[in-house]
Amino acid sequence: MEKILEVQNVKKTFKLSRKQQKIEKTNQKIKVALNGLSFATYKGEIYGLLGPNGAGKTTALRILSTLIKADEGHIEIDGIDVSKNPEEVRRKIGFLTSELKLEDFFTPNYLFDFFSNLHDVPFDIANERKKRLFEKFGIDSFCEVKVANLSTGMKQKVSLVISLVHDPDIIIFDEPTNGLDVLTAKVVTDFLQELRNSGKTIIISTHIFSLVEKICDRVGIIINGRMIVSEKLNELTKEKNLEDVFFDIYKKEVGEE
Amino acid sequence: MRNIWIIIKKEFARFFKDRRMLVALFLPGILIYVVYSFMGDIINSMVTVENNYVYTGYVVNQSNLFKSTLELEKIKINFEEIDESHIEEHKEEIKNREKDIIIVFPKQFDESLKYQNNQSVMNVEIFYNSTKTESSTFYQIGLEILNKIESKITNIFDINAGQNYDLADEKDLSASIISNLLPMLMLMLILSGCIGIAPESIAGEKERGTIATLLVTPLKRRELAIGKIVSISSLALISGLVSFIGVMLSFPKLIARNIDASIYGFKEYFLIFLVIISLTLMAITLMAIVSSFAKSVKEATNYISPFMILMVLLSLSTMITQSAANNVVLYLIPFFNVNQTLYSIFSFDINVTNLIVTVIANVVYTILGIFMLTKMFGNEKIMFSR
Ligand SMILES: Nc1ncnc2c1ncn2[C@@H]1O[C@H](COP(=O)(O)OP(=O)(O)O)[C@@H](O)[C@H]1O
Ligand SMILES: [Mg+2]
Repeated sequence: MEKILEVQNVKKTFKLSRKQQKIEKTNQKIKVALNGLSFATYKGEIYGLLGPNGAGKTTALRILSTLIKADEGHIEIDGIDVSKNPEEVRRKIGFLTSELKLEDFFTPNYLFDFFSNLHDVPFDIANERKKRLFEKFGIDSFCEVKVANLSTGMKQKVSLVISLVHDPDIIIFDEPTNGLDVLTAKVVTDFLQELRNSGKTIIISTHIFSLVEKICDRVGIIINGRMIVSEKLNELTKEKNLEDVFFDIYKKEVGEE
Repeated sequence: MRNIWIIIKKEFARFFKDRRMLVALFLPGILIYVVYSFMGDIINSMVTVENNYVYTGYVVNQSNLFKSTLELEKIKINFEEIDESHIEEHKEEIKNREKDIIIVFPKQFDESLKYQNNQSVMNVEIFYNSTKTESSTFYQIGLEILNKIESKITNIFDINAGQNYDLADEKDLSASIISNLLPMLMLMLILSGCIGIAPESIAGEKERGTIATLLVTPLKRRELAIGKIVSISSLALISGLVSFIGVMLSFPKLIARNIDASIYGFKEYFLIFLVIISLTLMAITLMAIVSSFAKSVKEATNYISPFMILMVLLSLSTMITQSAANNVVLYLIPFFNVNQTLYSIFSFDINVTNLIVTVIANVVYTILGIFMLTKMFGNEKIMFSR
């Protein structure tokens, strides 16, 4: 199996403003979000980053997608050093999180073309891809409607499609089904499996056990910014179901502190 | 390069698709035109007499010559003939603005004119009230007609009859009005165009989370910074231009005088444009940097306000000094240099060194600013602070 992504001992701290200290109910000035995170992902699998809220999943995925930088540690994606060559990494990955928004004033059609252009996708290929993806997600019917006038579900579909304009080999989705209605969620999870079957590598974060059990090949359990286990799903769930495995680990981890 | 162009195209498309932004672009110019014209009309109506106004007053020893000349000029009067002895009584009515005028002709005025053998010089008296527009206007009309009558009779030769022979005056007058007001006005218009656009384009995108979507594409931060600066500067320039046209169209009305903008040739307009471009780039870059610290458009506008005051103060300099500074070092001061240079161009007093220093200094500040903005776009604390 070919390693396509390797994360080694990544640390990330945030300085907390007064306001944040109040919200987090702490008087510490620094929040350790990732505390020596390490894991690896292999080509052609769906990797599930599983953890409670605040564990550091989003932070980890933002670092992978070069939006923010790690304080320490080393990350390689498809042989490229993330901190040294972020632009090259961005060409290889498709990143989707709920915080990446689309501009209200444009139509899905315009946005697809715009992002295809930024990714330097040849015109014919972009058009063929647009046709296929719009059809798959039912965007055709509203492809000329401005984003401002779309429902949340429609917007999410468009965001997803936009993150794939360059047909990336590695797809990183932060909580991909969060906030989606069941029908759309199913379309998305089916699509992720389809992508995996066509040889793509997919990394998702989630706190939903059933989602991991349904689609992931490998799972990493992240608690308080550290990777506790990172293993094949069928190995991990040989004796107990995922939920029980998780809570055993969680009790052990949080109890230790 | 290609990516910069893609960003510029998108920014333009975005502004022209957003009705609110279109309003922000063009409204100042339209408002200026409407308000200035309206103000001009009001001011004009205060200093000019309505077309169909009938002048009222008294005349002693009516002159038919005078009367028929008034008729020829289509000036309507309603004068009561009175006796010399009653002049004093009616002066009160002029004083308290009830009537416009009292004209006192010498006895047999018209006849005396025919026989030019007068030993003594005749005197025509016109009593008027300078605080009443109609009264002082008729006084001027009366003087003009009487002068005409007089020169017809004793005319030996004319000098410059019939038209304006003063060639220098209009140009100097226009230039002095323009150079005193326009540099400041242009700076204000450009700056207000900028403040309508920069916060929206930088802080607005941050606020709505759309800039993050750009930051996960292969687009370089520097390309984003340049693309943003170039596109929003162009938009600010368009907005400034619309305002400028608004000013030029309504200005003559405002000051009730014909401003002749054609006194400036291609050279002057080209130089003005050059200076204005350098100004817009610099102002937009500064506002973009300040906006990038803000979490929302509102916050950005607040952050910019103190800078705006500073910029306005620096832009007022020639209003106070009434002449352009000589020391070339002063032309390194942003905004101040633009005001000074515009003044010198408008008053046909261009100092090439100062002009070059101004433009180069502004361009250098812009480039430094773009470097800073690039750093901002790459700085997660600024782009993704909570
Ligand atoms: N920009 C930031 N500033 C301060 N604290 C942050 C920031 N981003 C994340 N954190 C903190 O880091 C921790 C991990 O957050 P996150 O990665 O979003 O967790 P998850 O996605 O697993 O819920 C949380 O305690 C969060 O409050
Ligand atoms: Mg999260």
